[in-house]
Amino acid sequence: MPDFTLTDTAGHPFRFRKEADRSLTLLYFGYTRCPDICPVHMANLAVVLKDLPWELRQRIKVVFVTTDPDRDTSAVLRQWLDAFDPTFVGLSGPVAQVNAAQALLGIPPVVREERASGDYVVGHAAQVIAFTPDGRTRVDYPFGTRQADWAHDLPLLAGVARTGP
Amino acid sequence: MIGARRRDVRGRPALALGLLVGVAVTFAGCGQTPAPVEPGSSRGSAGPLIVSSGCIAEQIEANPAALYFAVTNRGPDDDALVGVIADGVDRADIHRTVARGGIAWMEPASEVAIPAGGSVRFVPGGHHVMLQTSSRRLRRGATVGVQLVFRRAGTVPLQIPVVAYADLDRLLGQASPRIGAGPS
Repeated sequence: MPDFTLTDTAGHPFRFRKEADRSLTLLYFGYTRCPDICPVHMANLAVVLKDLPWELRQRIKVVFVTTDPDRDTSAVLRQWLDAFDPTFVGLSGPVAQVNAAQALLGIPPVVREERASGDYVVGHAAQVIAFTPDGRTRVDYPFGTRQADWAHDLPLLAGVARTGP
Repeated sequence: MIGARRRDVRGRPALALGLLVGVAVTFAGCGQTPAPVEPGSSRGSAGPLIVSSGCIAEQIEANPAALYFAVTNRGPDDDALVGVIADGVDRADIHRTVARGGIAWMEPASEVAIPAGGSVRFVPGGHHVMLQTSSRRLRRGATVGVQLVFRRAGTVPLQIPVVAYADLDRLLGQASPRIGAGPS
């Protein structure tokens, strides 16, 4: 379980290792101006989570870390996540801190590419990383994971509990 | 797999999109009921090109929307999509999502080849047209007039429905290879 701290959309420090403990935690790195991959993952998770029994749903956290902290202010991030599910956690921080968190997970650093239009695009990892409630297992879900896959796997992963004393 | 035939969020049966390889039967929108070809629908044609399965994933806040569709070329000549015009949209840029070093990128594509006798599907994780607008919001339930401009066949006018991102689910897994298939 990676140990990093970033800032949530309410401005509070969010220590991932502590917050992810005893929850199935689904971690994703992306940005809100992304039209193709980030919103698909978030929308699919939101739809599937909405259908889960309440008790199971309480044991699952979705954490979105922005790879575009310049544009994704806490307000922008909050509004965007609310469009999917208001319980989704949005995290931000200086790019160096986001990169440090990604490095712990084996994800390459954030890269920004300027475009002729004056705009820029941000490269980002495309997988959702699931950590089981016992913190012992990581499962990567590539882009292309479908709602049926989530509906099948999330209850199983959420049920993985700490064993032994 | 449990839930492999789940119903979608609005309770409609989740129609599997037809494979377009060499098949003229297509669908009116992202997983909607099959419909006959008619001018001004989400299905259209110009010369040997047939465009179908068009849908626009809605804007989240003021962020760009994404246009997806399928093109089948039943003719003997290669063609290419060279431009997109959409009503009330400031910019329509053809993009391709690529994986590079474990990272997903959007790359601009000045054109997309539509080979003779072949089909090209714009799907999440593959190609899309990014729509940016300041004057209108593209929300689910709306319909947008779109013109796809091809080098040989000319322009295909379409009326494309705007859908929720969750409605794109049935298009997933069609881009190849899957992106983020493991720790980089």
